[in-house]
Amino acid sequence: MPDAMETPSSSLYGLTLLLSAAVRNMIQLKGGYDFTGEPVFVEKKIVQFHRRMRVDGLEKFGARTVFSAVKFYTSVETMERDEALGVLVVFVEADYLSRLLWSLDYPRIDEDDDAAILDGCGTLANLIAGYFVKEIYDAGYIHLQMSHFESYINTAVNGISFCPGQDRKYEARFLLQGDRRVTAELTMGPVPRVS
Amino acid sequence: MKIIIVDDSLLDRKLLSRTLVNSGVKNEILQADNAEAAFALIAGNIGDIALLFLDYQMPQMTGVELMEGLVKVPATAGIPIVMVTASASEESRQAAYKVNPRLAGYLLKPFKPDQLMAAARPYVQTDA
Repeated sequence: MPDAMETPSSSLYGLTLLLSAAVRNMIQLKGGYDFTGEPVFVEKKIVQFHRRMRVDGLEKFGARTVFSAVKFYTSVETMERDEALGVLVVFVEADYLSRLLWSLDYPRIDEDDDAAILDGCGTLANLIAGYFVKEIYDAGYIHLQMSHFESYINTAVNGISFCPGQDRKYEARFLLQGDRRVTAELTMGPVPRVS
Repeated sequence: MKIIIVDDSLLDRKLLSRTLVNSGVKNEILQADNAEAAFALIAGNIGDIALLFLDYQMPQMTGVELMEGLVKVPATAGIPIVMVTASASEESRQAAYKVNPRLAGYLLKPFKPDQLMAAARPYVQTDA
């Protein structure tokens, strides 16, 4: 557990707690799923190459994994220049995605159809990101702009762009129906507070 | 008259379309997955658009930017628009209404059918 001092890591930990609340609001309250226990948070070093973050989905569940990234910006202007403050990556075991989306009233998707699961995971990540932005704002930070989603199966060969000044990320693992079903990774620079 | 749904998520477009049809909406429903395709659809159906559903976060051009373009052109300024977004913050809502004070609705994903129809009903044809 991070110490109480305000360090970049502990700020990121605090944001990860807000992310956890967003995921709960999305999946538990809207979807009616009960989480099995508390989420597990793990701080990790970002592995980067060519200023992009290495992201691998296969290592999350040991099975075919789909994941989607949504970037955050401090303003419309920084979004237009693609100067991201942070990035959220949502990982879901491909075989579980349709059930999860169904619980949120979405039509069933064919889990063998790559295009369908890429789109479905992006849709889920977009929802979670929206709730996360609200959690952040309600906690007294500025309103962050969100990008559209980018989705991948198993691995992002060219990595994912992120806030280059960051070297740490938090992984939040969520257990649904007794198994690890959804994992989210978050890296974020300091979010300005509302003045 | 037609309904146009603009969203980069196929699943969200399917959900919206299915919900409208299941709620008894009779209008023809057209779809676009980005702003460029949306402009083409709108241009081809000027005067025949009952309602436009617009996603907030899309690649290349956001829904708010697209809406800003529409409200500046007299021929499209009067098209009723419902923003559909995952962004639950009040600031996003205010930004949308600032661009288009006559916004017909602001719907949060995931929405319930009655929330969708409350926004759509004044502009669409239904069974009832």
